[in-house]
Amino acid sequence: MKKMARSKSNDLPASDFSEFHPLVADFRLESYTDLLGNHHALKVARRISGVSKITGLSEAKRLIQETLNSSAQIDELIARLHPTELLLLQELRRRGGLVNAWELFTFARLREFPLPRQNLSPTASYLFKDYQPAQWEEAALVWSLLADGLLFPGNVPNPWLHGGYSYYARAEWRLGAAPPQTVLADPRLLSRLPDDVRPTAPLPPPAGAKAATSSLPVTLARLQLLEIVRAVQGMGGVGLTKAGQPAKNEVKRLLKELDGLADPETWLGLAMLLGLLIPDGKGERLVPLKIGVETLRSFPAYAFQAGLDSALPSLDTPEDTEFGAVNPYTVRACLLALLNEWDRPVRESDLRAQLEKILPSQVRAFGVEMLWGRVSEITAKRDAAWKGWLSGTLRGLFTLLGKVTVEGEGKDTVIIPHRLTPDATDSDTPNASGPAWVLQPNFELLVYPAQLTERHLTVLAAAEAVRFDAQTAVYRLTRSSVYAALEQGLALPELLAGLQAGSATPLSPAMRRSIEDWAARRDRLVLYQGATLLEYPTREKRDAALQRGGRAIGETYLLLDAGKKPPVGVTILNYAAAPKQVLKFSASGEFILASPLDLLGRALLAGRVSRVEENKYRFLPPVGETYPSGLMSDVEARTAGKLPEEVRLQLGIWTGRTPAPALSTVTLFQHPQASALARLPRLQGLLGTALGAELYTVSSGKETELHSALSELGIQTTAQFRTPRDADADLKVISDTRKKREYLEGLIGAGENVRLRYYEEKRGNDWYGTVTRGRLRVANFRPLRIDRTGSTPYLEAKFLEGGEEERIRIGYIAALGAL
Amino acid sequence: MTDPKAAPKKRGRPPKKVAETEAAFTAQPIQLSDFGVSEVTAHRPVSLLEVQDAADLDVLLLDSKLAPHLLTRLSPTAALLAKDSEKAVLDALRKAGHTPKVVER
Repeated sequence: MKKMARSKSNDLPASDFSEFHPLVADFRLESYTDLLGNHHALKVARRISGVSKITGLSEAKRLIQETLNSSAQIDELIARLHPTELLLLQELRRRGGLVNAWELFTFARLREFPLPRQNLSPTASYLFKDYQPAQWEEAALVWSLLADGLLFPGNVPNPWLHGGYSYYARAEWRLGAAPPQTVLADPRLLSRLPDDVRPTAPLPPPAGAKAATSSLPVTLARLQLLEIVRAVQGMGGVGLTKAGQPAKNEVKRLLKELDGLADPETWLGLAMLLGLLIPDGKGERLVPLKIGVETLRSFPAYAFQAGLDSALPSLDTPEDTEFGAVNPYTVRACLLALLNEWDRPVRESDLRAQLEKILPSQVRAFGVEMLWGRVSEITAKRDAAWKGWLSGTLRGLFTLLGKVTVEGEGKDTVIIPHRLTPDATDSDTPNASGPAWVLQPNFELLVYPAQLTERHLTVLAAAEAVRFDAQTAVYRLTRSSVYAALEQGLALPELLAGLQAGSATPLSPAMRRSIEDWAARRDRLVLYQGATLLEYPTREKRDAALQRGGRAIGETYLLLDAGKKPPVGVTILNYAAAPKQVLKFSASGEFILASPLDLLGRALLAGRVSRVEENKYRFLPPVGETYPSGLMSDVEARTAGKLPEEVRLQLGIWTGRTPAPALSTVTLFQHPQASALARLPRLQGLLGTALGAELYTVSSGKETELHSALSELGIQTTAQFRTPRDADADLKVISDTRKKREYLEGLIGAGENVRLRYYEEKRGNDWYGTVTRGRLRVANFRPLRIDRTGSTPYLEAKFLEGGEEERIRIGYIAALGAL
Repeated sequence: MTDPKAAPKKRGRPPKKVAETEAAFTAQPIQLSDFGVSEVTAHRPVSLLEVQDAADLDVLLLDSKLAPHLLTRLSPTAALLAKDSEKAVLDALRKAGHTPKVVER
């Protein structure tokens, strides 16, 4: 604890709370009164300040602030604390100010602390605005402190609050990056708590097994996590669903790659929980977090185990489903807290008995099944399910993650917890000078996990796991595993030296040569990402610039070295932004380049344009195949102003977006009954395509035959064509329904008739009788009035031919015009 | 028919300079290397694929999965990648058994 915080002055100096978790160090209770709600904030202010009459939220906020900023007033508050409250807060401070609430609960229940005094009615429903205190046994050990503001939850809702009856949706929030189910407290209060000795916990009866502090299980867990990360890296990430979960087919593919792991799905879940695998920038794939992987290799064993402990309760296990566990996360958290408390071998039966004592019956609910779509707890199976779950969890997840070792069978089964501490002497401390593996001629490494150091782990990243055993692991060097490690930044000399240094046997020349070949093969193809390419007017100028560094590409390009910026004053073409509009077209279809064109633009134009004058170009028609379909839009993106119609037409046809125009010499045949004539047997095959009711083409080469056929009928032909007037050509197309209605209202007002091209309404046969567009009709009307069905406007009009009335939906009028 | 008012036709070969200019502005398509710059120009950020042997790039350009992403060949051994195609190129290369080195600039 900081001495500065213990000064006798009334006002706390600007204290340094770096001993606490960063989230706690920045936490000030008065800043969070909005999350409490009025009633709750007043209760907290009364408890913190000791003032009984407080009228409003702002006064409550002020009193909390004043009390917690004054060392004397904090001391008075500490003096008023119930012994249980004081012990819980002291434990919280020992744990850095942020702890899983179930650990505090286990701490208190193991020592049988009495419940703190609390005057809050169990039916009061104003905690954190809308919540009641949890109703299950002993829950007041935690919610009582939450109700008085001595503790603050990391998230709401949580098991300590009961979301009872509410007229509206209750508040749900999470405090920054606080893990779920954690609690914290104001650092100003924590820092002034007295430094009392931690109360001892009642210990279990001696189990007869030897306690062991071994980091080997934790190292094996670390290796298996690294293997998962390596496999995900090799796959280029695991695809995520829209809900942010790994896609099933991608997980299947990943599991195929991981033959060496016993329970790959658990390791995948753990890697995600620990933040080693995170969604990429687009949220589409799960990819390794590079700094996380480096930390995983370098973290000391005790710190890594603490990380595993934080994730362990939240992992899903097969036992949870098999034994119908209702609160598996809670029970696992309490089991973990109890194992950390005892930290000595314990009989399984004693562990179970103590857990039964600590856990309220409502929390320890097992043997739940789904029957006829309803959840039901089968009381008869409850005890057996509880025992089965505990046994499975200890032998499954807890053993897998190196938290315990299970020895013996039946009544004599002993659970040996492995709790590593920074100062504990580890019987398996790696001996840096000893061999970490044996290199075998078949490219396999027989690894001794107990001997692995951070340096060894870096080298081992170049091999893939084949098998994990209790004391050893087998890895294999492959072309892809070595490639992946080199891609992650491991240098070849470092890899070769590391393999040799960690091995009990020498690296054979054949193996060395193979690895060097694999690395050389990688150098054959280099992909530069985010590079800067300088382009010079001439090769001579480029070669002169090469003396300042960089790499020559082609005749006039220079690839800048990593981290180097282009010289000041050069023109920069930014490829991350939209391309510059440098093409300036003339009406005749020729264009000039106003400034340098980007390389992508040049690639588009290369082979497709010709130079007509100095810096003046014109598009050429394609030879053979058409141009790519995206050419026009790419050219438009680089064009200043609009693309001339002529060029648009050319590119449209040359890219295949529009068909080529058809041009042919044809003879036309026109007659008012042309279609009837076309059916005459004498004229069969002489008339071609119908261009209209009165107009047909004459089949190619049949003109003379048609003449003679008509002459035989005594019909003379003329070269005078009549031009039929298209009554519909002048119709207006108005897309906006409101404007169409206004136009029609104008015609009604002026008493004019109207010609309409409109769709009839067609009512569907479905349940709702959905109305859709039906047949297209053209007719002349006398518009009468505008009518509405709901908000849909209709025109009521009378047919000029016939005189019957018609109701036309205005939205379905395609074109209209006054007669 | 000849126009009597037209200037008398010059005899002999036309001056060499004129002939060169006419040849330069024919309807032949121009290639990428014909687009030069008059001053130093920086292109960034771009992605390039460089190979040790030009034959490797010849083969890659024949690959139907890769060719659409290799926009243009800047030299016999270097090609410019289309925008945002790095992942597709890497996937295609790795699937084809190559082990490309990725360099972030």
